Amino acid sequence: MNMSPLSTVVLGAALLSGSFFRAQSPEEPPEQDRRPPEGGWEITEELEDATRAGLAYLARTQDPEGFWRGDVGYKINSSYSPTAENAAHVGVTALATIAFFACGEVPRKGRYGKVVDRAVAWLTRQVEENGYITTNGTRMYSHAFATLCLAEVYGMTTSDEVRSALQRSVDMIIQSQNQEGGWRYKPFAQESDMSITVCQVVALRAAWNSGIHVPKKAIDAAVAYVRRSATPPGVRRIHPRWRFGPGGSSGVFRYQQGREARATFPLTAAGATTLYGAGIYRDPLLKRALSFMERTFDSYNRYWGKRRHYFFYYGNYYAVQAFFIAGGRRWARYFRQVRELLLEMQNPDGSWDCNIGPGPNFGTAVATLILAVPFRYLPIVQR
Amino acid sequence: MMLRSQELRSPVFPGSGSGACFPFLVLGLLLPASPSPSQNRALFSVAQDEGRSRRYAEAKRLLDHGKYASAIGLLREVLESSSSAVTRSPDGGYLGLRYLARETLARLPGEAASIYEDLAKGTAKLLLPDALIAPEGGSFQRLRESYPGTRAAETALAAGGLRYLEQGRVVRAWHLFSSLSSLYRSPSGESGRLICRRLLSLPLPSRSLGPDMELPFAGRNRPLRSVLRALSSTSPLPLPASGVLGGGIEGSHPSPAPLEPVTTAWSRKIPTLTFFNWNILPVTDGKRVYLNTGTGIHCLDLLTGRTCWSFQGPLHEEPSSGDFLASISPHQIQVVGFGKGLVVASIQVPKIPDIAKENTEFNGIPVMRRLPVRRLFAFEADSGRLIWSHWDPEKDPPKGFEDAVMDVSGPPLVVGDTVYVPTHKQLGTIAFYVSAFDLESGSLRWKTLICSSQVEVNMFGNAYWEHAASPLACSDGFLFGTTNLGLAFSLSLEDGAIRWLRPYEIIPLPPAQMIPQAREVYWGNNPPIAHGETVVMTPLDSVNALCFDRGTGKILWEMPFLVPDSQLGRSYPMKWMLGIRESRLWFSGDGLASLALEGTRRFQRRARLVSSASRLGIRQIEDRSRMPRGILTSRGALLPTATVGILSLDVEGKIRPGSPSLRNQTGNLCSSRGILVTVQPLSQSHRILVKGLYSFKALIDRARNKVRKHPGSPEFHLELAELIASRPDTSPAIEQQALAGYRKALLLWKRRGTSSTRPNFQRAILGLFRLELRIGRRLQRIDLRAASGHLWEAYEASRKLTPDSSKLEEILDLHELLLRSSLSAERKEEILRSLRDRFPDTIHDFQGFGPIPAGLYAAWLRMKGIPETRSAARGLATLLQEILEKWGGITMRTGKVRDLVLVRLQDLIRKFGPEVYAHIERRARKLLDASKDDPAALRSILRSFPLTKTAKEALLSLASLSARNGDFAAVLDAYGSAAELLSSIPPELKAHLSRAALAAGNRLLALELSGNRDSLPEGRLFSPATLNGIPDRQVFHSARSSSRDFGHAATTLVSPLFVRGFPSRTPPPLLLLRNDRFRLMAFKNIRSSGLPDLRKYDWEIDYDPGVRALPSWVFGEVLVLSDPGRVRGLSLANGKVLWSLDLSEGGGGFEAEEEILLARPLRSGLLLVVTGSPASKETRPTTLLGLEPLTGKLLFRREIPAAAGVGVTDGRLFFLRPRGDRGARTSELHLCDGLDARSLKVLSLDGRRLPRLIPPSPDRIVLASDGVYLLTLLPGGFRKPGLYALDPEGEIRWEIHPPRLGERDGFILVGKQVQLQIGFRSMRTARVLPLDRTTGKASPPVTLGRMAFPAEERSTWGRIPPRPRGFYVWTDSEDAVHLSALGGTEARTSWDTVLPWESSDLRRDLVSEGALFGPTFLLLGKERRLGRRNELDLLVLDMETGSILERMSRSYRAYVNIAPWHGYLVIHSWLDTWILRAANAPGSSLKRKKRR
Repeated sequence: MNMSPLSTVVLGAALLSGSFFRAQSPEEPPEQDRRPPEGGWEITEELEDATRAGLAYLARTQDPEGFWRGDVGYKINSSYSPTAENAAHVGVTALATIAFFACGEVPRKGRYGKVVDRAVAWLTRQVEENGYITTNGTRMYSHAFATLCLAEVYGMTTSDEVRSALQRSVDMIIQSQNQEGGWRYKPFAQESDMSITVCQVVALRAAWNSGIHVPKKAIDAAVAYVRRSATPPGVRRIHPRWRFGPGGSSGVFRYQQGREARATFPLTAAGATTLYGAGIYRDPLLKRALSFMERTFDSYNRYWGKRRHYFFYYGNYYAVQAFFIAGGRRWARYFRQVRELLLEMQNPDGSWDCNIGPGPNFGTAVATLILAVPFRYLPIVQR
Repeated sequence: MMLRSQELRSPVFPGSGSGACFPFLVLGLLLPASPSPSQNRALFSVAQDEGRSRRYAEAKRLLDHGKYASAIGLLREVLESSSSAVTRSPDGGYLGLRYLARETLARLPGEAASIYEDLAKGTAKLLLPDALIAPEGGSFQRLRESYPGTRAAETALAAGGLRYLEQGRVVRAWHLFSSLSSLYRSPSGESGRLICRRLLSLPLPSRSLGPDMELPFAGRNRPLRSVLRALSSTSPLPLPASGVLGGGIEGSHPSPAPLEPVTTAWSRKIPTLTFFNWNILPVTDGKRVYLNTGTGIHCLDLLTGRTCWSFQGPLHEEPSSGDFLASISPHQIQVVGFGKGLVVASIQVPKIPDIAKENTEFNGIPVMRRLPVRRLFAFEADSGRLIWSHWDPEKDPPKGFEDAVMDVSGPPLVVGDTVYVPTHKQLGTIAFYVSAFDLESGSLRWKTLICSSQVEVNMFGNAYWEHAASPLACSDGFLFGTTNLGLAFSLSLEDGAIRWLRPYEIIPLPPAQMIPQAREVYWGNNPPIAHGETVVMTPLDSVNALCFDRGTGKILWEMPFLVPDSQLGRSYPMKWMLGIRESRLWFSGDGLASLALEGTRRFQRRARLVSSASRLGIRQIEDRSRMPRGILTSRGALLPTATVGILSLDVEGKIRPGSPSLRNQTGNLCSSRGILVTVQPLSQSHRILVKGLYSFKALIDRARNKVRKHPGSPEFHLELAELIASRPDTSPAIEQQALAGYRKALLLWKRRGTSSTRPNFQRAILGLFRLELRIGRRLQRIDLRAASGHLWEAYEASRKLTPDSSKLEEILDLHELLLRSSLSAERKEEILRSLRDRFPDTIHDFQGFGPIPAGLYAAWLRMKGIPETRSAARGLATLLQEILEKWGGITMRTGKVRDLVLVRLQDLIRKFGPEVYAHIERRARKLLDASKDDPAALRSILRSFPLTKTAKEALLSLASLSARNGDFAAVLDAYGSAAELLSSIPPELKAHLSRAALAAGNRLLALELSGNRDSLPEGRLFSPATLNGIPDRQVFHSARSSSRDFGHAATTLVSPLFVRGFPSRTPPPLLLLRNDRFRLMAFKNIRSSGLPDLRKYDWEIDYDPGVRALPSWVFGEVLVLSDPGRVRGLSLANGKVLWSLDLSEGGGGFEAEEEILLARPLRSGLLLVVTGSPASKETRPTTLLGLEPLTGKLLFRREIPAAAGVGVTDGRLFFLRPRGDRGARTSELHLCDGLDARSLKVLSLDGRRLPRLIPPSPDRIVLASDGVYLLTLLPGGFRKPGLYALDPEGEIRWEIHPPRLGERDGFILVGKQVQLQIGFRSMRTARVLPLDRTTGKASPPVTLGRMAFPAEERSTWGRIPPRPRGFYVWTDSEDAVHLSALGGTEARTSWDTVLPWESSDLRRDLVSEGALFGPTFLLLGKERRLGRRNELDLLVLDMETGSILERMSRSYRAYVNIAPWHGYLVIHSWLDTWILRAANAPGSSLKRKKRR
């Protein structure tokens, strides 16, 4: 059997590389600032309401200690087996905190200043002496999201405490990079996979942006890994066992380096995001990836979105940034569809369900993040 | 706050090919990069501190340029690095930054050194005075650490060492002195002599260090003179060899060869939890053998194999202990470490690691494996007493140890007063540490993170094995070891600062496939061996033995595990590194090999095969993990094999001619005192076989020879005596020889003037004692007189023994034996005196008495011996009084000492008159006169002199005093004491208590004590919080409150009943919710804030009401919560527990199976708590406890041997007790006093005068102000079924026998009526028969329909509702649901209303237990399922007319609770909370609603 386990926490934060914030007031950004002249169609009142409600929900569900809860677990085929239910979750906490950043909320100030402060303080406390950020058995996904989050915080606050924690967590990522150039569920693994590698690269990029030393060769090795993971041009269909939903055609980036490894919509989005994150904007692989994603996002989203499956959130988490950077017609078509779908999926209390996966806090954090991309507090966009 | 925009940062990422001048990138290129992942290098991370690395490099540069001051400043900054911080060395290793800075500072060139000295001198001037006044020598040590290598540091070290010496902490002092001796400025010899000179000349602040003083030093007590001599010697102090390597794995030097001939002297089989474990290695201290099975410790006598003590670790209690077996590393070495009389071992504990809670798999593919967790335990070597452990089942990790406790990944090493141990945190990655703990307390000294890495993982990334590091080795102030994660290390012993880390080529981990593969391992998990300037290690993840430079960690040479045989052209694998002999390193495996440590400079080295398996004729072992470990000896090596036993080889590898035949023996070996010990797991079994191999004769011959050569040496006499005593073939003659040996040794020591506290002297005395005791015991059945002689000798010896815990049992056994022997009266008296004087408080299990203090045992026996005559009576009373005062609280097997003594004293007084007690009375009087109203003194009189008249006076004084002070609790205490000690309660005391109760807010108790018992109207003892108006306006709705604020927990509303008669100064309008995590949360004051805030509770407390949820009560401002195990009184204001009655504490005499069966308020102002076993209350005792609810003070406690049930109606207490034969089904009804639960009246329900209750149950008994009402449904004896009204004396006032009483029928008392409910809760037509309470005269029955039940409370059969009417719900023939009110006095108050509900709805019940009542209306509700949601339908009815005033509905999920709460109505479901306010006054609202 060629089963490949995937994740504890959904992947994703690639869109958050770099600084999330533009140079503007951290407090209550004026409405008109949120609507860039060229992107006026992106931000609707419904979208703003939805992100506001999402943040309100997250603020309500935050534990007084600063964390958000979620089911810590692992993927088996298309199901999710929890190992710690409704537990303090490093990855969910990091993503939820980033969601606040993505909507222009910052530490110490504003309506959600205390929420963010509590979350950051809790995350900082979870950094082990060896740099690994974990609790209740969370894994490298969570570590990467948390590193990313700390990098953003450090960029904003230049706190020595955060810097020390961030430096250690970055060192852990770098020193656990394996010979393939990638990473796996746990540090120091011999093997790699695409989804985890993307998270680490994005975290490194954010740390670098905030002034932390990141060796160039670590990034080079990771980019080389992503390139090696690409499927050969012309492959139209992958192994039927790896369909994972509709549209069985092969994507561009594979889960692992092997002929039989699956190349799905989210993995393709993840690969594209990595290349963009590494400053590569023109590449035949990117062209192929965007074409594939454009062909398949509609069916993918409807299939997994209806199930409130974490595949949906994780796939779009990558896709939104890839399309955003690509811009133009592709972006408009993709974002209109995903925006409508997310608005439709939102619960009256502001949350998004994640029936298979870490839970509603996770769904809400990622959905809010996706919807917040047009606010352009996420400066990843380097068109 | 300024935000950094992205534009402000470098715009190009390093990978994009532009922006190359980015400063961090440049720095990154300048600095040595992380280890490149190469083919055979492990992936790991170490703590590289780049900032301080740069500072260190800069300091070195500045030193080269002569800028010393700046350089020293930078170096001192680097000195502040964490002990883990490292920097890359040019040759590919890592060097510890703190260590580097320390070394550099200590070796500064001339001019720099003087600048540094000046700096240190200045600071030392400031710091030294503080250090001098600090009680601990550690202050000096810190001073020294700040300025390493300076004279100030040297002074500080010496002063610190002296301070430790003064405190008698010689080992710690030695640590400091030895550090001093290694300082660079003072050659070690000079510094040693310097210390001694100072020691001898310096006037010490205390005189505790006199020249004759003995100090514990290097394993035993030594005179100060010899300690000083040792301290002054230039060579480092000898450490116990067994404690040095791997916590006791001997082998760096040859062990003493076993004395030949070698035969099996003893063998023992020891059970283990692990299976076929070859890694259990024996260690010995020359007296005992210690074995660590991984889950427990066994200590055996080396000579006899007798178990001295054993410790079964906590994993044995764990039912799922087998879960760990598959993930135990086959390389985890299991040995103990020992030193200073303590044994330390890592033992597996039943902790569930975060990483994997259980073994799980998916389609046969392992997903997670529960990994073993090991923790340190320390024991007293002599007794096995647990001294400390890093395991607490209640809280793991134990508080205060969070940083200290980590999972142990190797055996502990004891050096001096410190335990060093490899540890790790398994959090998905292995964070590997070395930790140092104080040997005596287990507290953390330091811990150093070495590296992080990974072991074999499965495809889910989860660890497949536990991690096993190498045992540690210590040499010359440094620790050495290998992580087995691709990195070897050396640390400073003192503070754990890394000296160097060195990566090496590893055997790659196999890929994480579906079924994980273990890495091939070739070497055994050997401790490193240090020799000269090198240290040799055999990492498990390397094919080579590696030799490192001791100072830099550079790899000097490597040697593969395969050793070739050039003649045969074959290679033989080696596994164990046995040690060093004649500058050669010796290995064993499939043969024996050795390697010259000096000479060749080659990197690749080959060992010389001394002997191979082929040459020795032994079969090679396929599974190398089962290859036992041999030893080097002074004659060669002992090589255990699986096929031909243990081979004794000479240095040439040849089997020694004439060597002992050990063909049938194998196992891991150790050797001491001429005895060889083997340990081997038994195949297919959870046991290990331990053997002691030696010849008694040879040992004894050797000992005799020694005695012959040195007849004046007590040590040799002792050795010989011990050997003879341990002979298995014992005989009286042999025993006499042993006795003579012990006596001779003792005599010689006495002649020398040796103190009897010296260890060897004590050893001899103990040997003599045990042997005499053994002989005495044996002779008891043969020759009593001779036996007594030996036992007396043993007693004489025991008087010289230091009685520690290991010997106490034996000594007390001996005392007991002597008291039962035929000793003379004088001698027995001496034994009794000895017990009284030497062991007054030592608990021992005396035959017939149970575990009691030895002093009590002696006093009791003496008391028994006093004749009960007039002349002796006074003395007897005195002794009894002494026993009462000293041990009154103790329980013996025959009963409580206090009770037994009091009975005996009362007998004496009765028999011989009060004069026998007069002197005690006088003593009590004297004490009372002296007490001057001191409560403690008064209580003491009460406790110690309960039979005196003075006690009563003391009690009254105490109560009066407490009442004056407003101390309600103290008055209650006095009352409780009176109830316990006095035959009747003095009226003055009642008056005191009544006043105090009134002042404290317990009006009911005050009234009860003043005799005004029935002041409270009937049925009005308690009520739920009332609803003052019609709940028609919703003021609050919180959606999803529970899931948002309390996790996903479901919550329920807790609505306590308010007990009247307890005024409250502050209103308690708190909303109480309980979640399914058993937390009770109280929310903000609704009134003050207008709306409740359900996001944040005011206070919370754990509350698990159990399956049979007992109601909660409010007494004034005290909330009483009951759960199956305890009752607690809480402050409603802040949730603070004011008092608690906890059954689990057992102090109250509760049995383990007991539960709280009932907790209800009584009219006497007390809370009745009934405890017992719910399953067997008819056979096991039931206990009635009366607690004052504001203070929790116990006022009464009554035990009923067996009770059919305890009942409380309207605050009146009764119980039913089955009588005689259970088949006869007769019972007694006890009507009890509310103040002390005494039976005021006992009614015999035997079917003669009074009816029988079949089955006996309190359900249909009601105690009212006018008597007892009971309803029987079945005929019993001579009495028919029916309702009986009895007067308070138990005489029948009237009785009525209606036909067709059903099993669900009951009755209620309403005003002047009894309403008998006939045909209720059935499909029959129900009737209510109103009866006059005084006469029993029946009014015409009222016919209802089917399915009738009382609206107020559906589940009870007899009760007094708080309203003068009965309310009934029933269904008519048209299927319409009715609510009827039947007036208790006047027919006009009756009415009938048709409810807008269907009868089928009623099956789902009214939402609460019954209707909710306001002052003028009642509220009924029903629930109905609507698809996935439920609907609650509420009706508000006018109580006067029955008209429906309001109808409302609410949609909700799961279930709903509804309760009135001080003017509000709270409706709470799982996810929603609605609060409705009655905004209108009752009267006006009714009118308004009616109009509508």
